[in-house]
Amino acid sequence: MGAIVASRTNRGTTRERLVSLIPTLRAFAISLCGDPCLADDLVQETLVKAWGHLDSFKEGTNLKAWLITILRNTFLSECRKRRREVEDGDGEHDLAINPEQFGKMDLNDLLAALTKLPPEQRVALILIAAERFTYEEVAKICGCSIGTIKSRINRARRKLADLLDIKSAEEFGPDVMCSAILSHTTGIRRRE
Amino acid sequence: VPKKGSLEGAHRDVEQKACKKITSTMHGKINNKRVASPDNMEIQARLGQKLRILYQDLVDEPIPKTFLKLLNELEKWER
Repeated sequence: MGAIVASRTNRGTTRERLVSLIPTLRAFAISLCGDPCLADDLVQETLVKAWGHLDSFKEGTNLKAWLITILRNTFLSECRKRRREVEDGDGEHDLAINPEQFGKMDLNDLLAALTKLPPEQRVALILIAAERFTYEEVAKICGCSIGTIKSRINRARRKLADLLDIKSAEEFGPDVMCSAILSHTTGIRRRE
Repeated sequence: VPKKGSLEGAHRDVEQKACKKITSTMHGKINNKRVASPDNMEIQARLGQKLRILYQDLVDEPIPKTFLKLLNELEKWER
């Protein structure tokens, strides 16, 4: 009896932690599928699965990474089911989104471009570039090697620039953020 | 001028299109291969920046009530 009560108390705490991670799950899901409704379905399914498998979550490990893994797996199996996209394939036919001026690029253009990347590349890029996981963490989440993740990131970055038809950094307009943060997070040193 | 067929199929269209517009901004490619030129690095840095802004905007959205209801339901079922 005591054990059951204790378990329920833990679940209460876990519930709070789940709630605190919903914004992250939604951001990940929306950037993966580009559609808030589909994304919310994905988050819902993730929460149901997570709740049902809380016993398999090891306390003290990274709950966010665990949830992201569930969401990623759910998303990919949905992709396979629908056969809308081919994993790591190159659906190059409807490439350029061609915003008239990238400097004025709407974030929606970026979101649209993102959803044209092969799903595995999308996952890797978002987790590394936006969610700031390490390569090691992402490799673990995706169940592959760090080298594979690096390769997916490189391909995703190049393709994203192609999709948005960017020829020059000047097309972005004036820089608004601290370059130090960028060089740290992207591993790229800005031109002096 | 790039040789036809020397490109990977995946990037052919893009490469051809890009090669038509040989401008000063094209120094990201040498012999039709992408190189880590300062401009390419700058593009990638700026893309990363945009991506993080997009992502943060999404994170900052309020949590839809349906999720809180869902968690309530899950708790009820368990009892």
